[in-house]
Amino acid sequence: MTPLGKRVALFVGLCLACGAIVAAYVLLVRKPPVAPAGIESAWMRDHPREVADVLAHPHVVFINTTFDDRNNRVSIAPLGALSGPRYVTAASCDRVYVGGGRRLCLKADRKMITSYAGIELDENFNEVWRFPLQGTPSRTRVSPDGRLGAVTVFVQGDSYAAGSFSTRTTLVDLVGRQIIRDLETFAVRRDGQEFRKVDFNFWGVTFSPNDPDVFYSTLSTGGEMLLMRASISRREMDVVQSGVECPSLSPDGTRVVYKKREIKGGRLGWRLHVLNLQTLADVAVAEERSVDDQAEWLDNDQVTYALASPPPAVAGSDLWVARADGTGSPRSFLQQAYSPSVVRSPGAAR
Amino acid sequence: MYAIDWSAIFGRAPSKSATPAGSDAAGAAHPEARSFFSRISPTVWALGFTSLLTDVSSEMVASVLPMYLVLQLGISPVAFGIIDGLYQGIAALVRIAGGMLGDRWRRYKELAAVGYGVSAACRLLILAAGASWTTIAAVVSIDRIGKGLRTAPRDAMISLRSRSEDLATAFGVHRALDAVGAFIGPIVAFLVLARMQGAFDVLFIVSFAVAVLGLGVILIFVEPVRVESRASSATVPGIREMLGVLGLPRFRAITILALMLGIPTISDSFLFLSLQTKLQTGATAFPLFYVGTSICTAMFSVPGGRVADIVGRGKVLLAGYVLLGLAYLSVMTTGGAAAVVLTLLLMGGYYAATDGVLTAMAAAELPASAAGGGLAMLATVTNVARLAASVIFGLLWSTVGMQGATRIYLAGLALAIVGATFVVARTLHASRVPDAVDPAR
Repeated sequence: MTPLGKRVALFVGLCLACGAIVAAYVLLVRKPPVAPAGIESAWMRDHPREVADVLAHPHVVFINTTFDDRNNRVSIAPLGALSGPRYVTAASCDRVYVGGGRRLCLKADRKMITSYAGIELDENFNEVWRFPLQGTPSRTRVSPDGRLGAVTVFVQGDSYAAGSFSTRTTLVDLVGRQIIRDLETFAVRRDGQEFRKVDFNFWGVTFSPNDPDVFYSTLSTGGEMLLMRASISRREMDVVQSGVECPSLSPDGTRVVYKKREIKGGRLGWRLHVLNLQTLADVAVAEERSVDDQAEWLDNDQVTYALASPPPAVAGSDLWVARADGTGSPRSFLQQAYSPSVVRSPGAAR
Repeated sequence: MYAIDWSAIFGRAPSKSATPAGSDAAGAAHPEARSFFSRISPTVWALGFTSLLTDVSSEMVASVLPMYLVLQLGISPVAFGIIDGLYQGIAALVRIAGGMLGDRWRRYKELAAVGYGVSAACRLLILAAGASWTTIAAVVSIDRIGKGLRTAPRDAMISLRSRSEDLATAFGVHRALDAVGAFIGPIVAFLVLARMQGAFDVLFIVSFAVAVLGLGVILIFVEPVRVESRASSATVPGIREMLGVLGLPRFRAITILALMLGIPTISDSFLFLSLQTKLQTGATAFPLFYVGTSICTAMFSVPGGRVADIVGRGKVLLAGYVLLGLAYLSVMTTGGAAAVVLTLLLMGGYYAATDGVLTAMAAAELPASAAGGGLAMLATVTNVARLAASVIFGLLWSTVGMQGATRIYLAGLALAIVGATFVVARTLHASRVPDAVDPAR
């Protein structure tokens, strides 16, 4: 039998070898992440005049995903010159949306104990006020008049091992700066009959551009994904259609783009579809890749959504555009960007 | 057999026992005066540290895997959960195979080492898998196979290398070290990611290095356990021999206990979810519940095992399930930070009094030639009971609500404890008397 001293020496040697492997990887093999070539960006604070110009014209607000010191920063780019520089703000968020001149962002503070917050940003993207969230940020929307915000978080979805997830969706009064209520407090009706189940999960609110009292959202129960139409004043909602997730209303309010579950090649994915709310006519968007996002309308004919960037880019995602009528093929919209919010008419009254 | 005089090594370090230095050798000579350290075989310590390092390695990955999948790769956590159940089944089959092969080949150390090695290799594979969802799922399943393979041979080695009267203490030491790894892992992961933002690749490399060290401990410090082939060497244990251990009345009674007590067990993730729903703490606190429970388990496992060896393992096992019942009550009735602390203490006590103790009870009844297969079967019965318990609890939750489901399980647990008390009293008496002589060891 080998003496203890030799064994200890062997183990110490192994420790040193393992340390050397880690050190060699960090120092020699690993390339520190750099911003992909061809993406120009500038800090907003260094270019006040250009930024004022971008904000005065139609633009897109998004989360920058370039893997550098600008990662996760709320950024803006003019719709007219997307290939030009993007302006990066100091605000760091996981999800952002702009409506009626108000900006709402969701943030996960990933420390030893991760904490989550919803943050309203002013026109210079500085924090105005914040409220605590109950879990990982998922979706957010602001009503077109800027009065209301909606926030969806995963309450338990972090735990993949648990095999299940639950969400919580909350309405926020951005004028009075207070949480209004969870969607769980709304009365839910199907074919006129009220029903309630313990497994109710709501996510993906989208506010009506025509009626400030109306929003749509997903209700998941018993394995079904239901499109709900809700009245805020009456605190009730009705089932519109089954099989609809993460709806997003078109600027004219006639259609929703949503993601539809599909099993493709043995794995779960989502296909973007557009549903006409009057005729219930449904058309698949010409995007073959699985889209797990609440899409955003670029205008009344085109939708934009995020897809993970292809290698070698690390960690980023890109925005794509596809036609809402199912024709054509997707085109690249904005690289290294996430959570798009299109501001078509800046300066519109609150 | 013990070439290394570990008891002398540990005896020289300031230990809890008040025995003056120099009396260790005497202690070894007189069994009744043995110190705590001399009760635990060096093999058990080595296996404990292998588990600790492997748990650090696997928990540091597990704690960031959802974040990695969702943030880095854009994979939905829902998609991942869907096939998770399938892997549990694979792991159960592999565990039984691992136990049987260990008995058949008498090569527990080699099998366990292969299991630890497979998991270490998975750390590199997950890095190589990149953004392919299917490849990551495959790597996770291979990792589970490695875990399934090593569990039974490792427990068999702990059992074969411990005196019968010290079994629960030995398993307590192992489980305590395992639990230490479970809470160090997420901390290491946090430190790596805090130092280098988004450096998941570095995290996987560190995790690989730690897993290799765990493998190194078992390869370098664990002596192969040779079962004395006093039984004819012609007997090659197979499925029939493994099922044959169910013919042993006391082992059968222990398996029934495991099944009976496992059915009304609410999984900790459900219990923590109840706690979270009730306190409205949000997802922030969720990982902390696991860390807190691991800390409590690590604190209580050794004393729990020692007490079980002294007063009777059956009694401590029953007491453990009473603690679980109290944890249900604590979740149902109280509120605030005090409720959280109380629940985590109770859960830690429950794990400390049941996990290693039940294994020790079974190990004491199994012949050396069937230790691996028997322990694998017991673990599988326990897991199947818990899986069924989770499914049923989930269904009850969605029909009668969280409070109602917990109440039903509390009633079920009370019934099971009463039934188990009869089984313990009738069949197992007061478990095995500590100073009983075991000719097999």
